Amino acid sequence: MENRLNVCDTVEPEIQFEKKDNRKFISYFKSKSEKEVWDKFRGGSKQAFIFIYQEYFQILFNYVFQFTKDRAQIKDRLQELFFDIYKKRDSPNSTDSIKFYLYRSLRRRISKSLQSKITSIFSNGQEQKYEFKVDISVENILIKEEDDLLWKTKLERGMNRLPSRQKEALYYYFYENFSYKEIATIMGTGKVKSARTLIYRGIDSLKMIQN
Amino acid sequence: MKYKDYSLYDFLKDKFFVDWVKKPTMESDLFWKSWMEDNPEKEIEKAKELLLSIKYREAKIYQTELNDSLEHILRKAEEFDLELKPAESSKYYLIKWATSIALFLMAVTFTYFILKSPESQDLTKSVYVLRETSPGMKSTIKLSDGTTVSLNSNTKLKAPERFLQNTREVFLEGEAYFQVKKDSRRPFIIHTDDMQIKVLGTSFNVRSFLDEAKIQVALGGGKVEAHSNIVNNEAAYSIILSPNEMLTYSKSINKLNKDTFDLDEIVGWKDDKIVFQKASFNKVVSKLQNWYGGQFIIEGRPNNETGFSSTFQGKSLLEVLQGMSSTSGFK
Repeated sequence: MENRLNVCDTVEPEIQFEKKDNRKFISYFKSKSEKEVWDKFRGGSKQAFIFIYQEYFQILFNYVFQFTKDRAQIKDRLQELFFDIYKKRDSPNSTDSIKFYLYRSLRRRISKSLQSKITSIFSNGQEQKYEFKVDISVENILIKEEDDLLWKTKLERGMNRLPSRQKEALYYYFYENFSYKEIATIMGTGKVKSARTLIYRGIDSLKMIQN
Repeated sequence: MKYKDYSLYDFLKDKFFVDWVKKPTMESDLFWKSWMEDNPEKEIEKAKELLLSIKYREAKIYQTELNDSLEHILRKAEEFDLELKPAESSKYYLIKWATSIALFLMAVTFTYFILKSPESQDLTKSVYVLRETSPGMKSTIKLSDGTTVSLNSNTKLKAPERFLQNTREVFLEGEAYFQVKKDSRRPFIIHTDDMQIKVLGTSFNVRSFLDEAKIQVALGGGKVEAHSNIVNNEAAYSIILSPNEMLTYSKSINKLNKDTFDLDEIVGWKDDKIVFQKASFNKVVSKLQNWYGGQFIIEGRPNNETGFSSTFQGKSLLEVLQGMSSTSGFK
């Protein structure tokens, strides 16, 4: 029997997803760059929209969870965010980083609800809730000595005692891999320099605690 | 040299370093690995370890919450698009939604085939080639990177004519045995209907037929990583297999299982070996039908509780049937 060989198409396996099942196109979009996914979404692809939702909802949930523990509130905020993005999909902003785009708009919403007392996601407006609480895991293989354990515990305590803005900046820096410019934009400081200062100051305080 | 005498905190302040630990690129990996080799100091180790052990609290979303939320957003989106008042029933909107996706896909497919003329092919995109085997037929192919793939009967493999620089991806429906050429910079990814399998270089067997309830990945050697396509679910986490381990994914209950396996039973087909181990009658029939192509006419059913166990290599259907009838006592 012969081995059939036909050139069927170029990179567009979109035709394979003719089932209404959402997950079929997930792996397709996974192989695309964020810009491509975003442009598809702006071009009206609901698949791309669902993909973005699937990719980011959990991550964003964790992010807002750093500010408040109220799950229902977080869900509401995120649903608003996604619906707004959908509504504004015709607007001209292209983006290389969907993640950054989402964090930026989400952070703006959080600031707003920080200011307005009524719909505040920090219902009593207190700073203590604004946590970014760090856990430094000590399960790593490298730790063999008591000293190492102590060192980490000290750092953990130190990080959790930093001022909120520094803690937040370190979250983006250590954990989310945003650039200084992105951190500055997300936090609304605008200037790269001030974002860097926040981070350096945080690290310097850790150093002081340690010594 | 710049990083000489850096303290733990100096490293933490270095964005290039932090980015490397959290998200290495080829360039940064090359740089830092060789730097660490030349400077085996404790401070950089500590900085690296610290970065890797920082965790923030997480809140897990359940799949149902995720789906409900999405449904809610999509309903609002639909209302927005139609500028309609809220729906009487959500079911109606789900149907509308499904229809719009289907229509959209048809439109995409349609325009795609209309617009796509052979001359307009973009060199930066791969041209995919489809290889297919019919029932009763097997075939072995070599991909552009040197990877060999043996296709079992009734299998489709879609692979680019030439792999691009940073990735090697293929699409599989059916069963195939892969001997992946080692290339640590370009992972080899196999997309199946419900799962993605990622390796750097190893040999293994994948069985993923649309009409079967399970997907199997069995490993001859090396490490392989499998991800379910269903996002945010227990099974979505990757599972790493070691040699002689097999992964079974049950579609209906969405569960991943790890187990050992019999090499001949699972991958014997590529050496023309049929192996049954305590196989049920139905399993024997379906395997033979697929193997030789064609349909059996079954009259009566043997009563065999222990199942059939036998091995055949390069035999004709008649010989196999004769062999089974003599050992297992059926005609």
